[in-house]
This record gives sequence, C-alpha cells and structure tokens, in this order.
Amino acid sequence: MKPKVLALSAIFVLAVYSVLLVYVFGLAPYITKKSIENWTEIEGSREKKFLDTKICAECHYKVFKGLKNHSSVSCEACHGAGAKHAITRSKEYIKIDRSREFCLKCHLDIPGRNAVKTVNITHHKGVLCVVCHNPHS
Amino acid sequence: MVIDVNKCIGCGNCVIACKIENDIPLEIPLSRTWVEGYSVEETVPKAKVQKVVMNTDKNPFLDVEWKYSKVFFVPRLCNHCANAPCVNVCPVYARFYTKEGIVLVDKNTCIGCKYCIVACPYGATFLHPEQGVTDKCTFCYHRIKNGLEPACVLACPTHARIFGDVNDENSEVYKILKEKKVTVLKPEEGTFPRVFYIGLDSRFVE
Repeated sequence: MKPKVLALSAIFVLAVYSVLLVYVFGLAPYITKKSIENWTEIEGSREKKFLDTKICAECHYKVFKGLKNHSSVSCEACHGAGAKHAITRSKEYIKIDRSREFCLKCHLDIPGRNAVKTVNITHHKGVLCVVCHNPHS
Repeated sequence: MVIDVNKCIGCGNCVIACKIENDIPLEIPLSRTWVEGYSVEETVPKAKVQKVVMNTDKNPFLDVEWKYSKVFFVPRLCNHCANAPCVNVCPVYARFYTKEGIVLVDKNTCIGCKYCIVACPYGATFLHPEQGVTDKCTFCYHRIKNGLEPACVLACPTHARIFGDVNDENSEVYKILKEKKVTVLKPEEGTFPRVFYIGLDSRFVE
C-alpha cells in the first residue's frame, strides 16, 4: 500500500511542477516579452485628442504671430482639445468661451497665485473681460 | 518631468486636459494627475495644514476658505520611479518599464487585484471605473512617441511643468537639473522618482 501512495504522489508532484515550468518558461507573457511589446505598441498608437500649437499656427498664422501676453500659453490651454477641429475645420469642435468666469479661472486673485497678473472679482463687475482686454494681443 | 511649484496657479487645466486626453470620466474624483492645494501655518513642533484636492473638472480653489495665510499648489502625478513598488508587487507582471524608463500598465494582462494601489506611496494609481483594470499616468506615451508634449504640459498656461529627457544634453530638463536645486517626494521610500519639484516644501505633502 505504501509504495503505491508514494509513487502516486510523486507522479502528482511531477505533473504539477511540469505544468508550472511550462507556463512560466513557455507561455507566461512576461517571460516571453510578447505582451510588453504588444502593449507598448497599443499604448503608442492611441488616438490623440490634443495636438500642438505648431499645428494650430499652420492655419491661424496671423493670430499666432500677433500673440503677445499669451504668447507662451499654448492654444489648446484655452480652446480645448483640437484634434477633431483640425480634421473637420468646423467651429463646433473648438471651445470659444468669452465669459468672465473663464478668464477668472486663471486670473482671479486667490491666495497662492503669484505667477500671473490677477484681478479682484469686483473689477468692473458685469462687463466681459474681452471688451477691454484682447487675449490674442 | 520637472514641476515648478512657484509657477503653479491652481487653475486645474492639467487635470481637465489629462482626463480628456486619456478618457477618464470628468466627474469622478479619480485622475491620473491632480492638484493639491495646501494652506499652512508654521507652528512648533507640528505645522497646521489644510489640504484641498482638485481631481474633477470642478475647481475647488476658486471658492475655498483657506484657514491659514501661506498657500501653495502642488501638481501630482505618477512619479515613474526607477524602483517602482507597483512593478515589484504586480503578481501577473502587467506593469513594466519601457526602454525610456516609463512605467506602463499592460491592460490586457492586468487582473485588477489592486495590489499596486496599496503599494504606491504616492497614491498615483487607481482602478478605472469603466475598464475594471488599474490605470495610471503614462506621460502620454502615445504623444511623446510622436514628438509632442504630454497633455498636462501642453495645457499648463504658466509652464510650471517641463517635460524632457534627462540624458539628452539639449533638453530643458537637463539644463534645469544641472543648475537648480530640486527635490523629490518621499525619498525615504527608496523609489527613485523621476518627477522633480522646484521650490517645494515637501514636508506637508503626503
């Protein structure tokens, strides 16, 4: 009885270990490096939603050249993601927000905001900022 | 990536741009990059700290009542550590380093066991609510592969974020790291982060 149990258990252990070895050195994606290459490719070829100021300047060259105060700010920081607009060239897919709240997102004088010029919320209340200040000059 | 804390104005453009670019729902409070606002009063032995986090498309910094006078904003993201705990703990080897040193998640292999969420000392990884796998910053791998900047860097109006290759001698990051004093978050964890901060009082950052 005893040698039979021993032999059976030995066969069982061998089977388990051989399956593990085959998986780890033959099939496991990390060891075969396949999954890493695949995923790097998938990740690298994802669809872009934002483009670049250089691409905006190809069509809107006059606006781009005239920029002064906001010259270091990229177009899509204010106008939103522009990949769709660059393909369709339609106004639907680009954001043009002239509201006070939109300007005050960056220019409201909250504490800790030292890198930009700020204004108080009471500064000409009710008048749109773009009436006096042109953001593109 | 180098982040200049003095230039951050807490506008939250980076958070919204990142969420749009990487298909993270705008209204849920999970994000690949987020901005933390700190209001601090220096007292001995322990400073009083008030912390507010922006990780949705709504900016809380515009109407928050700060308790203390010293206020600063800290943009946070995955640090792409050279010795990343999330890579070390992943049981299915879904996380790996690319040739450039960027830490990526293989979403086909990831089983969503959340070990990496526990392991990350920066809280930079989270479970994607729609895909059911973990998700984190990839430095916009699909953009930098094509020679563009990451979305958060593009959207930052004050150039508080600077992206580049440290080994490339012509890059801006190389010049900054050569000249300026920088700090990293939680150096005691031994993770060797690759996101450097200029002018950060890292005592308060958790």
